[in-house]
Amino acid sequence: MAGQPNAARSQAASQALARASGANAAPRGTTNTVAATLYAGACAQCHGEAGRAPSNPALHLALSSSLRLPVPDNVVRIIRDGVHSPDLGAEPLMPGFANALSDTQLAALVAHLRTAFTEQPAWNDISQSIRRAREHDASMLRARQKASLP
Amino acid sequence: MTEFRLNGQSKRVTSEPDTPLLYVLRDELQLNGAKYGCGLGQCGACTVLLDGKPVFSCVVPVSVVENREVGTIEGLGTATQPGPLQRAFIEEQAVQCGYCIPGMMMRAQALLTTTKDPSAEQIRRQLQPHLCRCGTHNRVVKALQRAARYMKGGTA
Repeated sequence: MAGQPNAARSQAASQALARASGANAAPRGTTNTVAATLYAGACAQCHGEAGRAPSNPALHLALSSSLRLPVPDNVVRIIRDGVHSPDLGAEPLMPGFANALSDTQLAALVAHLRTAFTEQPAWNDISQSIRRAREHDASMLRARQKASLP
Repeated sequence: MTEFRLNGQSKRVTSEPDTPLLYVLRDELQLNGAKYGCGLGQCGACTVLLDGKPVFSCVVPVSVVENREVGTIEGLGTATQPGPLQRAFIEEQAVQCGYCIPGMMMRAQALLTTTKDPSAEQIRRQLQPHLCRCGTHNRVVKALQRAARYMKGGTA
């Protein structure tokens, strides 16, 4: 038995579920119009936007655990690489944006998601997370080339 | 207003900044090579190059490409003067309905730019993000290998 979550966690979960399913099922207002534009053009088709339900509903980001972690590494990796099906022959569940977004654009988007979908304090180390992701990808590429993998 | 380079030429477009690049290409610039398939970055029909790397233009807002270089199928050649990749697809008859091909060709172009002599396995892996419901998959592999020979100066 996992037991009952404490009162604070229960309340946070209820609020997140209400935001994800109710009339406010949209990101909160933002002062970062560049990032809001990125969200509208790259994310909203699946994750939803104000006044319009997505045609292909993906996770409502008010319910995202990655957006609530102490560091943004997971969010950075998901946006860069996408989300892949365990069946490697299948299409990804979410496309990756590593080729599309510059580091500056990615950092702005990640900061916006944290503000728009959670009550957590802003991340202050997003650029370091992006650098770690880039270094990881580069080392993986070097390993593949060394092993002569396609 | 967004400015970027398209197939080597400067462009200035007036679409709203959150408009998907695909709609800007097709509706504002009348470049209908890139195709609308799923609108969700799942099928690959809309693929274009951004700074030489393949992206799904249906989920790339045009604001993203400000001051960057976009490449589309129209930049690879014309009907009367097809580029090496287009010529190879024609000669291998690697197109059936053709709807997915412009996107496939752009991701192929990205591979051939970095890999001069790709194996069949490398080609299949590279083109994995592209859905095609016709039946020319093996011919597509041959077409890329033929194009690679052309790009190295070969004749066939």
